[in-house]
Formats: sequence, structure tokens, C-alpha cells
Amino acid sequence: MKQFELPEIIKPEGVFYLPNAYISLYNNLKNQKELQEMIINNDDRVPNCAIINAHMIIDIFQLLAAASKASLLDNQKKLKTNNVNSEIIFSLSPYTKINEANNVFGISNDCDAALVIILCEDDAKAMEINDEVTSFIEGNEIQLSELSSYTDLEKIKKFFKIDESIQDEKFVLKQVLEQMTLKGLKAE
Amino acid sequence: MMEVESKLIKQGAEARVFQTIFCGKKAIAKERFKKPYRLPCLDEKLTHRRVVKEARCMAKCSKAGINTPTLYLIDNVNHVIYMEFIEGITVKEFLRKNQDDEKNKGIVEDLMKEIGKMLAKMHSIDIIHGDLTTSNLILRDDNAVVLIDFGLGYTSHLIEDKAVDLYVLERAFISTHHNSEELFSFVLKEYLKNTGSMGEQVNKKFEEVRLRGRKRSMAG
Ligand SMILES: Nc1ncnc2c1ncn2[C@@H]1O[C@H](COP(=O)(O)OP(=O)(O)OP(=O)(O)O)[C@@H](O)[C@H]1O
Repeated sequence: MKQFELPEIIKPEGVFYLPNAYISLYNNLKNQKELQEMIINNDDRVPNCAIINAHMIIDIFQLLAAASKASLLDNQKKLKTNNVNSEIIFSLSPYTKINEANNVFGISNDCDAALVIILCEDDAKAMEINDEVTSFIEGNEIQLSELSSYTDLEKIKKFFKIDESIQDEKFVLKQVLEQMTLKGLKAE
Repeated sequence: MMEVESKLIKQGAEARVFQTIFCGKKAIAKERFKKPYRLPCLDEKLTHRRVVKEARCMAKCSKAGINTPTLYLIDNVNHVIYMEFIEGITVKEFLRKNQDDEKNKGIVEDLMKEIGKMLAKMHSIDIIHGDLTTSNLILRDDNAVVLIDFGLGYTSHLIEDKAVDLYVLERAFISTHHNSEELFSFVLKEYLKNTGSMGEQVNKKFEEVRLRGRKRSMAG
């Protein structure tokens, strides 16, 4: 598990802070089906975290940007989904269908690698939640630096409607981040 | 206690620009603030619309392959756009330092062509920048040119709007760089090379706009 700082939020009267993000990566998932069902059913045993299909993530920054947006909207009482964890998953999608976001970026049957993100103010609390996570997930925790070997760039390009001939991963990430940022913006 | 990372780098008439850190990356936060003389509810709407327009113009250019700061987050309550910080120097500074050096002639010419190509791409997708200056072009550390500040940007397919966009840039060259005529001619030539018949129409209009400008300055 690794700690990350979310951005300072600038307001006319000064800055305010979002919680920290704690991220870990698992492979060889065995109980994805069970996890998925528990999450869908809002089971009490689900830890206070978001579990993400690692194949749809190019870079941890992509997940951090989604977490920043979700956390900001939470703070502003403007969530489009039930809670900040489901909002992280929703924020990863460029489209406004919540179900679709869950299917693509949440955990599902064919997903054998997952990123877990915990939003929380302090390290001690994050450790507690992480203990719950490790007993909840059947799989092996691996280094975040191994994420790239799970990234399915072709699938990502397809979902984000990015020209499939583009091979530059940095360019794809830029387009993904911008589609996420622009989602749902109305001129009115 | 945490440190405040955000530092104000520019206080404009419409926006405050901060340098900050966004999830570990150096970033810019551009905050549009309220205008005290406008009705609050109208002000809110106009400010929001401006933020959306700016972000959309950036993303459209980026999608077309123009180098722009990557958008990170939009705060619709406080009207702030968070974006990538571009490391480099403005084309304005670069020209001031290098344009007189004979051995840099080729580099300067290539840079001007790069700008022409970029503007051709931008006008081909009907984006008008609205504030083209050599300060809004950053020569990034990897030598790519990056277009910033879409604060006056909008979408238009009108030839006149594109011509005025170029005219604004020409004026910026004239007021800040001494051999502006030659510099700008490289930009325009490359622009025309990459815009086909649309470019020809823009060029014709551009000459008219120039003429109007000249008459105005003689009269005034
Ligand atoms: N993405 C960026 N990376 C690096 N520097 C930037 C970036 N965006 C802005 N700057 C710096 O901040 C200055 C002001 O930014 P910008 O031009 O966007 O604001 P502005 O001129 O106040 O906006 P507007 O013209 O919309 O009122 C720029 O001239 C540039 O030096």
C-alpha cells in the first residue's frame, strides 16, 4: 500500500485539503465473483474502499485524478452516485451511465488484477481499512510499478474511442484524462 | 500541519493563476473569479460557461494532436481549472534571446514553421484561440511548442474569425519582435501550406483585415 496526496483545492477564501489516497495492487485474484456480488449488494463486510479493474488503468495518476474529482464532489455534496467510493469508479468513465462505469472499471468475472484505493485522513485509519481489504481479497499484493504489465491499452482505446493506430501511451493517457475531466460539463 | 503548495503567479482581470501540485505533478490552477459589478446569478452562469469553453477548446485541440497542457480537473463550484504545468520558456523569451544569433537562424525558422503548422491544425477543427501571442506559446524543454491560455477561445468556422486570429498574432509579433515581418511570414507560409482552400480564403480575408487595421491606425 502506498500513500498519495490529493491536490489542494483553491477557493476564493483560501485552500482546503482533500484526504489522502492509499493505493495497492493485487494479482491472481480468486474471489472476484464473490467480491463483485458483495459490492453490488452493498454488503456490510465490504471495506471502505474502491476496487478497480487494473486492466483499464494506464497510470496510477489516472486513478488519482478520478479520486480527486470524486473527493471534491463529495466535499461539495454533489456526488452522482451513492458514496465517494462508487464515485471514484464513475469518475474513471467518460460516459454518464453508472452501470457501464461499474462494469468496465469495477471488478468483474474476467478481471484477475485489481487496484484498491482507500481515501482517508490518516495513516492509522488507512492501515485498519487495509487489514480488512487483505482479508476480503483473495490474491497477491504486488508492487504498483507492475501495473503497466496489466494495462490493456487496446481495450482502453476502444472504450474511450481513441484511434486504434495510436501507440503512444502518454498521448492515450492525456486523452483519457481529458475525457474524464470534461465529462458531464454543460454549458448552461 | 500541511504546507500550502499553491503560489499565485498571475493576478489578471478575469483570472488568478496559481502554480500548485496535483497528485504529485507540478500543475497550474486557473481560477476565474466573480465580477462584483455583475448580477450574482448571471455572473455565476457566465463564469461557468467561460470555464467550460476554455476546457473544451483545450481538449479539442489536444485530440487533434496539438500540444496543450493536459486537463486534470475542473472545479465547477469555485470555477478552477487544474492542468499540467508546462516546463519551458515562452516563445517570446526564446526569440528575444536567440533571434539575433546568426547560428540560430535555422532553429528559429523551424520554430516559426511549427507554429504555422499548429495554427493550421487548430483552424482546421474550427477552434479560434482568441489571444494568440508569443507569450501564449511555450517552447517546452523537449523542444515541442505548446499552446496555452484558451481563456478567449471559441468554436467558429467563419473565415473572418480565423483571419482575425492570425492578425492578432501578427500584431503581437510586430509589437514584441524586431524582424517580425520575416518571422511571421514563416508562420503564415506554413499555415497556408497546411490549410488548402480554406487557407486561401483566410489569407484573402487576412489581407483585408490588415488593410482595415492600417487605415484605422492612420486615422487614429
Ligand atoms: N499550463 C501552463 N504551464 C506553464 N505556465 C503556464 C500555464 N498556464 C499558464 N501559465 C503561465 O501563467 C500565465 C497566465 O496564464 P494564462 O495566460 O492562462 O492566464 P490569463 O492571461 O490571466 O488568462 P486570460 O487571458 O484567460 O484572462 C501565462 O502567461 C504563463 O506564464
